[in-house]
Amino acid sequence: VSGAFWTIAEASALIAQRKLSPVELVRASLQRIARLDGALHAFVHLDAEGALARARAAEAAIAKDGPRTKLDGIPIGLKDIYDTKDMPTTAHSRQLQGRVPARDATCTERLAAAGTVLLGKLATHEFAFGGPSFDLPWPPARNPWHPDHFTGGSSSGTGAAVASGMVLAGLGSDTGGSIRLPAALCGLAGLKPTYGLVPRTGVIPLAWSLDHAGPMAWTVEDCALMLQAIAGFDAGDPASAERAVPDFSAHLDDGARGLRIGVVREFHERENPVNEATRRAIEDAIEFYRREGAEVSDVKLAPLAEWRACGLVILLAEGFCVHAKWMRESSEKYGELLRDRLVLGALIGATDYVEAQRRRRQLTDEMGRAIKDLDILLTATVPAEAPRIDRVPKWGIVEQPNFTSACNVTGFPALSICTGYGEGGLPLAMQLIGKPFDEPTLLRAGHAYERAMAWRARRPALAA
Amino acid sequence: MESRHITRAEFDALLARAGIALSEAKADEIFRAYASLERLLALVRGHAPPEAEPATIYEIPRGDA
Repeated sequence: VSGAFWTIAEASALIAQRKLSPVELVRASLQRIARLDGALHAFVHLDAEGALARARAAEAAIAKDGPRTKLDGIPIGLKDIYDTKDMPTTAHSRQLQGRVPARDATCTERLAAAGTVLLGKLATHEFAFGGPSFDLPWPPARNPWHPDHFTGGSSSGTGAAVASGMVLAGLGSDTGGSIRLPAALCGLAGLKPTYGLVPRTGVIPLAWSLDHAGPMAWTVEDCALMLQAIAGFDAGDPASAERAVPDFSAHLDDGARGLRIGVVREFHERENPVNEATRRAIEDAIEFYRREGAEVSDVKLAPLAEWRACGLVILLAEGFCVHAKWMRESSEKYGELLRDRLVLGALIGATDYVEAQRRRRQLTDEMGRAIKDLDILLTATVPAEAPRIDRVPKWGIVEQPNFTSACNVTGFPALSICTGYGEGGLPLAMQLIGKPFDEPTLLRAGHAYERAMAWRARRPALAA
Repeated sequence: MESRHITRAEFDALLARAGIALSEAKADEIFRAYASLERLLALVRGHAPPEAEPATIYEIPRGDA
């Protein structure tokens, strides 16, 4: 077991056949964490004893009654904004250092009920917005493909932990791209589900109307398994949708034939041009889909900058509202980066916030019209491989465009998947966007591409 | 789209209204970053007619997925 890399689907099949012990699987994870986390800083709280106890309980239950779900006995981690009643939840901030919530987040509960073994809490940019920061109680997570490089954020620890094989999957959160960006830069699959599909009850907010909870895993197939456990109505989240939860794995193997894909070429070719390796990888993916029988056409949307502006104005205004009391009374407890970024939110007037929400409705309608006769939109997730962690600009959030905010503005589901590796040996990625609540088709499209490529066989050398 | 450029005095007034106290050097830095935010604000202004309502909801197909 030690040294092996498993996907959830692989480990789950072996556990069901009693060929893989959840206890041994967790021990292997703990050994990998002991070996690597001094360099990667993926965990802010590791509960090794608790994890082993949970693994023993899972193993005993599986021996008696068989696995409850395909997640039974699977080691996972949670971004440290998901409440956990038996371990601290700090949002990677001095403001909440030592806080142990009274209750689990709904997602925490659901994953436990599915049989997962929680190893601990994973690094995040402070309150899912301020990072990478070097003046917090815990250092920022590092990219397993090269520890001098950025993981992306804000679900930085989840990206590092999954890519290095410390856990088989984890949860992130996504308000402007915080699942998809670290998934892209760390070489994972990361799904921002439709707004309302996964409850945020017990998840520390950044900006309520943009926040999404979702899975990050090595493969699209594993994201589907994680999503199955956490999706569904919860009255504790006022945005939670009362809809039946489909089987997210049911159509994974249906292939790409017949899919209608619209390429938002303007985004990644002209408005925020990606580097040559990313562009070529996207073109290769488009060619793959054509070859497999998908219909591919080009689609135009409003300029990328307008999606970004709309999302960021809302994010900054709601974000300051979340933090206003602390910003006035104990701002010295924040890292400099988050504190300074939050100040911008204090400067946005009510009229501009409402204007952004009015623009949001127009943009949402526009994306709906663009995808109406299609199944998937395709563009980049990031413009290039991960930069060095010491070269991430503090004010990039207001100065640089991004490809991910559009789906926080609209709530449409979006998936980032690995499209190979660049000259520096770091992962490349593309983004697939689906119709609201049509995650089965989105996951099908991602899985069709992913299973045909060799990328998933390659793991970071450091973790081998 | 309407673009505005506030003065440093107006910026300081916004900070005061928000109850945020900053050192002079920090206020200088954030004032410079605010210029980028002003460009973003200009992009969200003036698109919608008066009758257009804000939305924190969106239309989705009815029925089960």
